[in-house]
This record gives sequence, C-alpha cells and structure tokens, in this order.
Amino acid sequence: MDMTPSVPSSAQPSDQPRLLPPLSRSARWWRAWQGVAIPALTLVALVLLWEGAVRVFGIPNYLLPAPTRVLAELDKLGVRLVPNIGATLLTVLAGFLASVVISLPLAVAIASSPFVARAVYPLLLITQSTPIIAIAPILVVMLGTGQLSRATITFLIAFFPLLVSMVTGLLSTPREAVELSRVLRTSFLQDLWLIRLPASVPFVFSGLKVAISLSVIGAVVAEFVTANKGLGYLITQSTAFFNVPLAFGSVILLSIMGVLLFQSIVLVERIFFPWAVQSERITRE
Amino acid sequence: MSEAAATPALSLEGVWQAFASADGAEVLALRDLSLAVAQGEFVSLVGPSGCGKSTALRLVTGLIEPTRGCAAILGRPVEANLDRVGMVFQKPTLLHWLSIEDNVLLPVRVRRGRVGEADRTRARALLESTGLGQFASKLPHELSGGMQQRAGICRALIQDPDILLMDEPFGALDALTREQMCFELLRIWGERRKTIVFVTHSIPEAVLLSDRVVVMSARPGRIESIVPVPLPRPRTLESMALPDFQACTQAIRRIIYGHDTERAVVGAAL
Repeated sequence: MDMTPSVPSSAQPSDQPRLLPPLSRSARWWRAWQGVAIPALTLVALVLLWEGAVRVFGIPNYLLPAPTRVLAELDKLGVRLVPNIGATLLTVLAGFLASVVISLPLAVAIASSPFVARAVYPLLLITQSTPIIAIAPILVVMLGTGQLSRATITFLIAFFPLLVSMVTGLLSTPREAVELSRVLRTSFLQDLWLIRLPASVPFVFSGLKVAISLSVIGAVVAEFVTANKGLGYLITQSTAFFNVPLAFGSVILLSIMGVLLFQSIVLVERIFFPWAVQSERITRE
Repeated sequence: MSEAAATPALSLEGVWQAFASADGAEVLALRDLSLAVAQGEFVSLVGPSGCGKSTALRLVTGLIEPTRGCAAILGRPVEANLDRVGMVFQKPTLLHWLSIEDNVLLPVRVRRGRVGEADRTRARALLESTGLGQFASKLPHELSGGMQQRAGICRALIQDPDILLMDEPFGALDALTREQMCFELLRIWGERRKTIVFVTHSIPEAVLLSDRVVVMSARPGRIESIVPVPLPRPRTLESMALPDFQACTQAIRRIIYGHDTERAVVGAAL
C-alpha cells in the first residue's frame, strides 16, 4: 500500500533526459523578482510622468506641486516631522487596538448567543449608519480635546468591519468540526479556544487588514476635528496657508504609514498563522 | 473485557425518533428500532438515504436523545459511558491548523486539558501502525484523502475506546483507496477487537467487513432484516470471490429492492 504523496522535486532524475532548454540567468532573476519589480517600476514611471507633466505644462504649485517640490517641503520640516508622524501613529494604533480588544469579546458574545446578536446588531447598525465625522465634534465636547477623543473617533470608524468578520469567522466553523466538538463534549471555552477561534483566524485577519486601513482614515478625521500636531493637523494647517506641497507631503507620508501598517499585519499572519494564509489560498482555489 | 461478555456493547431498545420539521409537522426518523451489538462484533448498517442510519449512530454518541425508548452503552446510559466510544466521520474532519499528531491527540486534550509525553508516544505508535509515522508533524492538507481518513481513525482510537462508530467513513474516498481502507480497518479490528458499528451505502463493503449486516428501510426508518455473514475470518480479497459473499450481497439487494427482480438487476448494475 504505497501512499507516499508526490513530493515536487526540482532535481532532475539522472536517467531522465532534459527536454526543455535551461533558463537563462536573467530569466530566472525575472521569475523571482517580478512580483516586486512590476509594481516598483509602475510607481517610478508614474512619479516621473507626474514630474515631467508639471514641468512641461508649467502647472503652478498650489494646483499640483511636482514630486521634487513636495520632497523639498518635507525636507524643510526635517526632524519636526517626527512628532507629527508619532502623534498620528499613536492615534492609529490606539484606535486599532481598541477595535481589536472590544470586537473580540463582542464577536464571541454575538456568535454564541442569538439573544445577544438580536439585541446588539441594531445598535451596531445605528452606529455605522451615523456619519462618524458628524458626531466627532460632539465627542470632542464630551471627551475633551485630548488623545481620548481622537482614539474614540478612530475606534468608531475602524471597529465595525473587524467585528463583522470576526462574527462571520466564528459562525463559519465547518459543520463537521462543530459535530466533532460536540462528540468530544468540549466545554464552551475549549470549543472556543481549540476549534472556533482558530477556525476564524483567516476571517479575523481580513478584518484586521480592513481595520488598520480604516484606523489611518479615522486618525486623520480625528485630527481634522481636534489636534495640535499630527499629519492630519499638518494638512489642515498647510492648506489654510496654501502650502499645497506640504499637504501633498503629509498625504504621501500617510499613505506610506498605511501601507507599512497593512504589510505588518500581513507579516504577522504569515509568521504566526502560516496555515491561515495556506487555507485562504486553498479556499480561493 | 471486565464486564460480563453477555452485556451488549451497544443496545437500542424500542427507539422512536421524531423531529419537528420547519413548519412544525412531525417527521418520524426511526420507528420502533431495537438492536443489540455484542462486544467485539462488527455490525454494518445499510439502507437507502433517509433510512435513519446516521440518526441511529448519533443516538449512541448522545448527540441526540431518543424521543421514546432507550439507548445504552455496555449496559449503562449513553452519557455515563461516552468515553468508551470513538467516532469516525464521513469526512476526516481534521483541524487544518494542527499537525496530524496534534489532531490525533485532540480528544486527550479535551478530556484532560493537557497532553503528556506518554500520550504523544501513544499517538505516534498509532500513526506508525497505520503507516502515517513519518507524517506525524505534517499539516492535514499535505496528506491524501485516504491518509487523512486514517488519521481520523487514529484520533478515534487514541482513547482506546471499546466501541468504534463509523458514519460512512470511506464515502468520500475514491474506489481504490476505499478498498485499501477496508482491509486496513479489518486489520485494526483484528488486532484490537473493538466493537464496530459501520454505516455505509455500499453493500459489498458491508458484507466484506461485517459479522452482521443490518438492512434498514426508509420513511420511517426501521430494521427490515438482519443478515448474518458466514464468511471466514480473516477476510481477504479472495473472500469476495466466495459463493457466500455473492449470496449475502444478493440477499441484501433483494431485501432493499424488494422482490422485483427487474429493479434489482438495474440496482446491481448501478
């Protein structure tokens, strides 16, 4: 009964003739790096196009500053950018962490009890149908002009998609796994810890990826409403004085921050939950 | 076998099982079912879809309670003796984030909260005996369907239960793997002398494996007939060529399709 799985092997068995021509070095390089090279080249091309267009058509700075001009403006602020980046990052992380810490137990409660689900869902829908930007000034009056207001606004913007994916994940445990859990007579916590939470990890991570992106948006919204530093604050200040290049610079820094935060979530998933990445790929196939 | 060997491993006595359908109407799944499975016996349940085979099996896992009548394991109520029972599902139902070894150890972890070195040794020995020794640290998706199902069987055996309940365990496998798994199961049964209750759609499979084949009929599910299989043990590929094998499968087909031979021929050809 030979049931060893076929192991994909790159080594050529010695008795088998090679039919395909060997890959050239540059072809091998391209295969390995095209995932990075194609987006990088596209980005470089776009920036060059932008710079060229601004120069050729003589577009004024307050309409569309050239990339070099944006860089120069950021350079002018230099080290003074750091506390602004730090303040925004703090708001993003505080709002994001609050989303995780509050969504997880709430998701477990909703997924475990139809009663809680029916009681809580309408409230959640109301918070989501209300434009957060509209209640932001009210929150500032209630919570003050400090970090707490900003973190709360960020949380309100970021938590809902995370909560929904966590609930979906907990409820999507395969039927057979639920049956197995019942046959083994797991306790509520064992069922949660051994079966339902791990089964929901791929869903949780897609929720986390949405939540971290929304947290960056939330932090900027919060800083528009109340802040004395931060990248969102820089944007309102610089546009008030028609310093459009600095506003562009702040936006670019925000994008970079967003991409890096998103990628760090991807990285955490790959390192600590490789099977979740795997199962996502399998379900997609 | 410390209990008196006369105590049946499993017994269902006068079991009626009703479910409420969505519109509130009552659906009768099992009608006056009585069955006793002796210790060490291999019994198969066959019958058309909807005949309540799986329902009967779920009664002895305590997943459902009989509406009327009673179910017992080794002479005691089901809940009291649940740890004497291991269950194998139609799908391997392995947790895809745990290694094969940890999947096999899942019942131990649930029952005792933690897994000791002795348990690991036992799990590895089990995997070794089913030819999965070198795959202990692999994740389920790295194994073929047949290997996954063998890991599922190892998981059911890890607590060394007296009774193994199998709900169409090979139904999701291809025909060749299925035959291999049958002989694998016969080998395990021969070594460990468990009581096995095996639900299947395949008549030849039931005859090849069992001491007795319980033929059920549908709507409501009840026992139509119990066919003893006189084939000698141990059973091999050659067993399937014996006249008794043909006689048994034919007898079961006749019970299922009625005495309408034309339909029986069509059924056999399918």
